[in-house]
Amino acid sequence: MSERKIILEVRNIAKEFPGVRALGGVDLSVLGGEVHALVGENGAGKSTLIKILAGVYQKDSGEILFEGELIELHSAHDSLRRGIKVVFQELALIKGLSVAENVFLESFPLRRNRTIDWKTMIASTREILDSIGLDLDPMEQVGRLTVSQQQMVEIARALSHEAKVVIMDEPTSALTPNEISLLFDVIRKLKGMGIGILYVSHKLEEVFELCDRATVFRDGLRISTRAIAETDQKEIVTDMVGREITTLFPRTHTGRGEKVLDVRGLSTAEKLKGVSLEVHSGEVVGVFGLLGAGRTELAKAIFGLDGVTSGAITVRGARLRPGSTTHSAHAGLGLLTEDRKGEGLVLQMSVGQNMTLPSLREFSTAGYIRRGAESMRAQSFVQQLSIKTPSLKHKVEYLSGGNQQKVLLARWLMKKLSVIILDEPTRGIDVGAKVEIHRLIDELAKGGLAVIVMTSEMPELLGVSDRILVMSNGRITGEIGRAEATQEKILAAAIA
Amino acid sequence: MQSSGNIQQGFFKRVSRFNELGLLVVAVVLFLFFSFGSPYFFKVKNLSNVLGQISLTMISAIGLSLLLICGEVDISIGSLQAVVALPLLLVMNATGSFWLGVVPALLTGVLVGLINGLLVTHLKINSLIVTLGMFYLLRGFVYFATGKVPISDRSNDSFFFQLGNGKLFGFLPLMAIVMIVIFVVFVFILRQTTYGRRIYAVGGNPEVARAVGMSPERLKLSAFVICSLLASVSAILLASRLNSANHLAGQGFEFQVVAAAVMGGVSLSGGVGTLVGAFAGVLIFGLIQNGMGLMSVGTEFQLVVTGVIIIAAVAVDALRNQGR
Amino acid sequence: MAVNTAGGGKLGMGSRIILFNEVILVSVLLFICVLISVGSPKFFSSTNVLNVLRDSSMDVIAAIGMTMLLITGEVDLSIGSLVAFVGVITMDVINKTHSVALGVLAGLGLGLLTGFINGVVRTKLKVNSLIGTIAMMMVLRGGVYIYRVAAVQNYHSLDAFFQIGNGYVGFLPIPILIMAVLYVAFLFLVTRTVVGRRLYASGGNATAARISGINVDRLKIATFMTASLLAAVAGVILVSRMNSGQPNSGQGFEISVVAGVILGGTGLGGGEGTLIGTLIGVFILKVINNGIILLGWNQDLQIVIAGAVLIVAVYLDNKRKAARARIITT
Repeated sequence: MSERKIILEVRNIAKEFPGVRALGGVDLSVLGGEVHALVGENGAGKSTLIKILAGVYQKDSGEILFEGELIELHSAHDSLRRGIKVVFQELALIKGLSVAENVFLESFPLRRNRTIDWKTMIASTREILDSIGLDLDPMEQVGRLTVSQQQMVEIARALSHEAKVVIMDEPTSALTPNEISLLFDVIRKLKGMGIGILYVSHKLEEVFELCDRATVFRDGLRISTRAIAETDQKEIVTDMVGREITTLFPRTHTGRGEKVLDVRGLSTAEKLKGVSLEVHSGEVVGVFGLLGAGRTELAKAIFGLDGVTSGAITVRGARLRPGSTTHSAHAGLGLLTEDRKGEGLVLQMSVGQNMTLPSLREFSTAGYIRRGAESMRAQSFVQQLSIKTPSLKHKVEYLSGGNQQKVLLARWLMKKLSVIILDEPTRGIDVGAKVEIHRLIDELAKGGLAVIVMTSEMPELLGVSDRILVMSNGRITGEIGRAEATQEKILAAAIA
Repeated sequence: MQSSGNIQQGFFKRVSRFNELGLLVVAVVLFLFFSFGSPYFFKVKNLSNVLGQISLTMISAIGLSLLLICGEVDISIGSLQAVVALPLLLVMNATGSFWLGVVPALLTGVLVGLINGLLVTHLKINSLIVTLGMFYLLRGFVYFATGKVPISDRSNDSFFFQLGNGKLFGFLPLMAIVMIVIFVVFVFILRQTTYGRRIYAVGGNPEVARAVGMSPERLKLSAFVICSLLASVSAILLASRLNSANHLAGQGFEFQVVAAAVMGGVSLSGGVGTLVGAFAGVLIFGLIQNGMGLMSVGTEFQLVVTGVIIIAAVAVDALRNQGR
Repeated sequence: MAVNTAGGGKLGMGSRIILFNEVILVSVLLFICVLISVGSPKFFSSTNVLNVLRDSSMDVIAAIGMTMLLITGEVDLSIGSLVAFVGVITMDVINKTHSVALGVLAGLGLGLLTGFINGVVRTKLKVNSLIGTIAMMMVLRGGVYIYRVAAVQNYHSLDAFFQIGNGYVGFLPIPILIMAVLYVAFLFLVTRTVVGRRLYASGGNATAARISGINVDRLKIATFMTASLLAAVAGVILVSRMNSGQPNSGQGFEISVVAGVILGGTGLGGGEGTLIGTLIGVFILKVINNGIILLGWNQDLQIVIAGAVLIVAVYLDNKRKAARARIITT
């Protein structure tokens, strides 16, 4: 193989968001004709970097060099014009238009009289598709194609712009094994054309099958860049997680009681495939999984927010009606959603009102809300959880993330629950508040609740869980007890 | 396990493909049904009336479809029918010339389209609300301006009369010719020009469209103007048939046009639909109205049926989108 | 980092912003009143004031239901046609049965049925309520003409019937009394009860409401039925005042009511709005209409103004939302 040249290079790229340092000065280079993997856990900074390269985010500092030349990427248009094509998971296609039109979306080939030159467009599209070995009808409506085929259209679009770098973001999460092979063939063809490919994924067996080099990000920093031929999965995994767990997680709850929640063979149309689990009272079960594993889908399916195609959910022996949230709520289930603002809080309402929402019956006589009793109860939780708010009547959308989360927790603490499902309870929350929330989780278990915590943060997982379930691709791929749990074991199951 | 969507999605994909062909089949079935159901249906005079009626609706439907495809809606076109007739008749009566009257009439339409478009694209008000407000505002204005008294045509301009009532070869209404010309032009625009394809792009995924350098605002503004302009053409033809500027003209028209377009596969959410499909929808609507009229079903009942059809068309459209 | 501003205080959620809004509205109302009285001194006479209040009663009653619907994020544009249909049916049933009670029940029953259908179309068929109720508006308008093309005259002149729209309790016209009673009752419901809280939750964040155990679909259907029922009450008052059931009545009613409610601060997005704002908003529109009549202007301007107010009100509502969004920076 002849000497490969560096096509894309980033130096010392840093990016901060309010309260979070997404990238702390990373370097990366992509050679022409190589497939370079970018791996890391959730929140490691991978998607931030590629969004910067796509022109969607602006870097705070650092340099981007394209074929040795310093460039600025101010918009998606810039990025594409330069020859950098990013294929995101949410494909940037116009479903109502044909394949050929999507491939030539920026500029349709025109005839002399300014009308669309369909013949040329179709022929060129066919040429491009042939060059990567695809058999698609250029006039087919993109909305009618499978996800795998749509991905190919995006790649074809890159080629129509003579892209020199193609960045793929978790491309295989929605593909069947056959479609994945097809994708790999296409990527190899791109390689043969001298195009540099940056392949972002957490699926290590794919990385090892397809890629030449791999860079590992962790907590916004580049940890290592290795040649695939000279390393193994174990080394990469160590790079991905290698950190010491320093935060202490308060644990005072002991012993588990009777089985409270029993889930058998739960499947949904889109993601879950026969998930079974059980949780006892006084127990904290941690559920881990990487992006797309199905944790949130599981949480919603158990609670009844999403429909299920098969399976049974039983709470304290009573069978739950699937898909009915009122039924679940009455049966003593509580759910803290991943998306606080979008699904958890009623932003226009006050702190107090958000807290008492599921418990209104307790403070009302014949429908009339006894505001005094309501306020007293809410106030007691504000104190108990140290929620920082000027008053109960303050609109909840003005609170900080951590305090908003506490309000939601207070909401569930206020009710007599049997099971509580917490989906990413400390996401986007500062360290101080995190510890408090972990303490609360401990309290919940102590009080006899069956607690399920979904999290993608390893230290949190290991700290709070009595038992760990690992999910991958809509299935439970591992169950590990607290004593035997190690990060490597968990991650291994997560990428299985 | 299938990766791309689920069974439901597949079904609706197949249904959409079936759509245009299926609609034409439905139209043919209706045609046969009415032919046997009423002795008056399959007569040259009646059929040419139907053609004329359909032409009126179709001209507006072309403009509205363009607007729907790029993701917006205009339900003020019914009230516009009455408004546009005003300058037309006033100038015609004053000057005796149809062509002098056409200019301010069309300009009025363009103006309304501009206002609607600017309110939506620059003040970012929901188009359904803007045009709903216009729906009332324009109608009220016409009542106010005419004192609820129709303005008859006193110019005796023969071309004006022929436009709405004349027939070539004894059966082909002039209106149909106008419709066919406009239809061909716009089918060409939508299929063969960059502008046309961009309309689809902006309606299908405005963010992606913007990212590749298109301006959703400018495209939508132009669509609003075209919609009102074509609706003005309909209005002029309608005024010719009514031989007056009538304050009640066009009542319920906008909903008919929307329902016909939606039935024809032009989705309310944008990015999808063809003029051929819209034509099929208009055809079906026209046949139903004509058929019902011949079978002595009153206009009130037609109103009810239209309402029910709207709900059905929108519900199917909503379900179709869930499957996408 | 969230920024703490405004809000807080002793009076209620986001109090300062809302109160500010209502103060502006009252000022606008007073300003218009003063303007009109300058042009026509009759404006502030007790007869005129009572007339305006009595004419507003129907709009206010319907606006109560419309406000509740908008709080849940829905709307109902069929109330105009419904009012006509209710009038025709009520009059017809009274004529045929000699019973005012039966006639009124029939009219209210129609309201409940319409609301139920609107609710089902929205929640089960998933049809956008704006479009769905426009379609219902057409169905009802067509339906009333099918039922009776010409006005249904009052054959019996039963006193109870006359009293509904034209009677007095002391110096207070009965429609105003009905309006006041209903308004206070629903004000209590919306601000002080579990149901009211659930309305705001369902409109503000349906998923959060569901997680909290609220059956959002059922609540919406019930709200649609309430809105139509209240519109039917307005329809009964109207038929009593007109002394006949007119199939072409109620045209433009829905737009005045919606415009008034939105003007009063109830947004289209759901989760916010107050009945107090609604009251002021509706009054502003009614006062303008009254002014148009007193000043001798063309009455068709009323609809023109309602349409314009709708557009302006929604625009202002958008700006209000954008301003609030700018205050929080998370």
